[in-house]
Amino acid sequence: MHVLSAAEPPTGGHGFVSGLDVRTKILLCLSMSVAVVFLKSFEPLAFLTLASLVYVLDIGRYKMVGMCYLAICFMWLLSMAFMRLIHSMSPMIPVTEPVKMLVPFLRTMVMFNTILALALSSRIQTLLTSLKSFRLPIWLYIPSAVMIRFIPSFIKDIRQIYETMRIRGYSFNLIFILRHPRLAVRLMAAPILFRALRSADDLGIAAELKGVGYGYSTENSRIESYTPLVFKFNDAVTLVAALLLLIAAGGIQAVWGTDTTGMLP
Amino acid sequence: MKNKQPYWEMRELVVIGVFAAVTKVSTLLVALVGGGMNPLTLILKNMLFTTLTIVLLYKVRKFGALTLFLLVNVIVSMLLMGGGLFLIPPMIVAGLAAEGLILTLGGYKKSVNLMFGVGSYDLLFKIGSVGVSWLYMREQQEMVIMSAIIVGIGYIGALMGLFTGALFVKELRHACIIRS
Amino acid sequence: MIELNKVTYTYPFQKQPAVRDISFSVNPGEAVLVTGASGCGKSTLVRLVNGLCPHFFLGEFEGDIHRNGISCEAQTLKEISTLVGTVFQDPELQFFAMNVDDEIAFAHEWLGKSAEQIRNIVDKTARRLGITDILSASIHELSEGQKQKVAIGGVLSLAPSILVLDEPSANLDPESTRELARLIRELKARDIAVLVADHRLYWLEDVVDRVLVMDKGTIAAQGNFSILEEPECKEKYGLRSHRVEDVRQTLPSLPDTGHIHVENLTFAHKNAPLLYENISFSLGKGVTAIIGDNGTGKTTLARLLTGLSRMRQGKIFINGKPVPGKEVLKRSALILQNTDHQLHMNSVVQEIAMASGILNPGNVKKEGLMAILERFGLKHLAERHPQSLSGGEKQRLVIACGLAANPDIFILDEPTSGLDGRNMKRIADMIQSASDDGISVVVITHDLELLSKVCDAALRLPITARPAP
Repeated sequence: MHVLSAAEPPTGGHGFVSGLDVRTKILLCLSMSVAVVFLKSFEPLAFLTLASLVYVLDIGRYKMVGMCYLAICFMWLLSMAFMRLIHSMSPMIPVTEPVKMLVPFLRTMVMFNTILALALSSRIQTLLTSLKSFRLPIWLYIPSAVMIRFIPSFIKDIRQIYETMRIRGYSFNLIFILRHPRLAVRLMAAPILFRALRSADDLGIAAELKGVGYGYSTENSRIESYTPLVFKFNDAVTLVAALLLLIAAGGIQAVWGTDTTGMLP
Repeated sequence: MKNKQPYWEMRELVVIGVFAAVTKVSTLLVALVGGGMNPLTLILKNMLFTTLTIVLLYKVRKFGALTLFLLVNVIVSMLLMGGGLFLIPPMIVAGLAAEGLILTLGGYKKSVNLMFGVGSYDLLFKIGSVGVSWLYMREQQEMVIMSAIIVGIGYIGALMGLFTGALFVKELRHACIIRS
Repeated sequence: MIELNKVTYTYPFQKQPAVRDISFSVNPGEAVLVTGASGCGKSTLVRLVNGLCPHFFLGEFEGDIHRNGISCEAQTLKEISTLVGTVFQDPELQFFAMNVDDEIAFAHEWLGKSAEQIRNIVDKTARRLGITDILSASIHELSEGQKQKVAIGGVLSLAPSILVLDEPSANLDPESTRELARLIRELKARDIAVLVADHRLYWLEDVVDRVLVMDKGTIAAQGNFSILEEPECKEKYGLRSHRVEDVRQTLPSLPDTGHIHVENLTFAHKNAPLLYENISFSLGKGVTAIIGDNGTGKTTLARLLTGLSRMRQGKIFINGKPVPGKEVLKRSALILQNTDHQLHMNSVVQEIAMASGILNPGNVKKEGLMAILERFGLKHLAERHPQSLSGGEKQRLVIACGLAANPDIFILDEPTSGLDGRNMKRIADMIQSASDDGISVVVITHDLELLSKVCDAALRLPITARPAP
């Protein structure tokens, strides 16, 4: 996932979505994840899926999006097979039509499109800057910032740990895990655990020595970025467009929405 | 005016942040390598999460450490991956309930209390997450059942993680990396 | 200025003091070096100066420390942090931000300064340290020398009057070390009191005004740099050499034929231009140093030689026979710089067992393993937890683990960084002994002392294409 990479530039190119403020993209993700809960028919969800597909395709990573869609399709087929299995075991449970069964998957696709756009077009340091703009209290900001700061470092560490195992002649595969479960857990958890404890100690000391949190518990206990993120015209356009799309989806639900099956109250 | 002593020390906040990062990265990588729906992967990643949580609570023995750790995890996940909004309420409720249990049992100094606390957090949160998956898949009860099975498999890993966590705490004390 | 007067300090849970009866001072515009073998109390001294002891680590403190004339009793750690700046051995571990400019700005953002003020501070600091061209770079893209400069920049931007550098040269190449020496001289000219704690000594001859040699928690010797020239001082206190010959240009080139032969190697990183194109070389049975500037692919070459990375084209021959990539991995050992990543088990003996290919150490007779430990001088540590060992002991253990698998190629990446003279010599002896046993040893290092001590030949990067013999 690109957002986890600190060193590389965004691969999403210079399209419209890539130029959006990261907070706009986060807001889109959150609003879509809430909206899809309230939409319950195939039609409005298919409408939002198409709209969000256009949004994610602007990133230009067609192959990646295609592969993810294939995976979701596979899950859909798998769940249909599972449903038929349950039906054969308990005939009281009816078999749902494939199109209606798509409803939960369309919810997933809407969320997935917006999340993928965020992940493929944002750099992790931009997220760190956006975190500052939320004006969180120090007790929430410090651990959150440390978490973001250390994600790329730990990815690097885990890669090195894995390579160390390869050098020692252990291939960390299914057979190895099943044959030596205790050793596998140890190899997996121990080095990263020790690394985490040492990193935490070192960074804790650095924080004290830098006077971070100076004035903590008084008025000066929030951080403000010296290079604040600025909402641009395109962000406003995107947010308004998203709002209109959600209203339209609500309208489709009200006018053309069909009943769904299952446990819906 | 003299500053009053803040509840959280800077080093504790840093430890919580570092552990949030390490749990996120390690569980994500296990899922990426093994595939999200693979039962073994589900067990392993839950076991890793619980193991690291037990060690964290042994390092930061303070009421609120688990809840803050969970909150940070979910906030950063929202920033990174834009989801998980509905998981916040069950997570916070489960976290606070688990910490209440740890306090009731006598505090954070005993590994066994941490095991009960984290074990109950895992159980409560997993029930909550089945509820959240119901929100998204309510039309197909078969899928909710499937998701409950997946969550259940994950809980087996979480239970195993309680013991590996306690073992690692013992080992860290032996290595003098964490003091009793 | 900083002044310590009869300071004795004991860590919590410890019976013996880490330092005893320490008195010395560092005046504005003065640089003082603290050196000594591992465990001599050097790190504790650094922590006393920057206030971590006793404010962070707690413990028992006697005596008095004055910083700029203010007694330590009247200062909190936060107040001390405005007077004393500290830079660690691994600067990356003290970074809070992910970009160079954000890192320099970080502490100022907490202090509530305006955006304009912070921008000025960042620009001024970058100009002062010559890092304007990397201001927008990610900290993960920087070389060790650049990281060091960013860390020093972050600290200096807070205008401290005392600067503490803990093992500043441990991860630096000789060129960056020279840069650092120039910077310290400049700081002295600005009336900053500088305390340097380091094992490597040669680069400090024209930098420091005084030297403190520590041993068993006390100041065992002090004077000007010339006290380090006495051979008995070096021997007695386990120090490194005060003067080191730079053999990077004078080491002989590789032999035409050798135990290991690489033919027509071609390699490129993903989405990057070719790093090696059709190159061939041979490694003899001695110790070969890989020498090259940052970015010339030293570590990449090591990974290719051990089979960790796959060549785009080319072959490796061991004793004249071609060996496929997977087989190369089995016949080689690579010791990475970070020892913590290479230690997995809960005792030294189990670590060796696992490295020898024994997956259930409980079922194996310990005698064989103890013999390996004895060979590497680790027998007395057999039941210790690997993570509780000192830096030198950990390094010896990972080298022992590498050799326990009887490799044909043995590659070590910076094996002596941060080690004192005694431990450096032990590692050099282990390398020499492996080479005497007929293993092709390859060393990637910036440590000039190690290079001159053990290396027989040099593989200089970048290599230009040469037809196979």
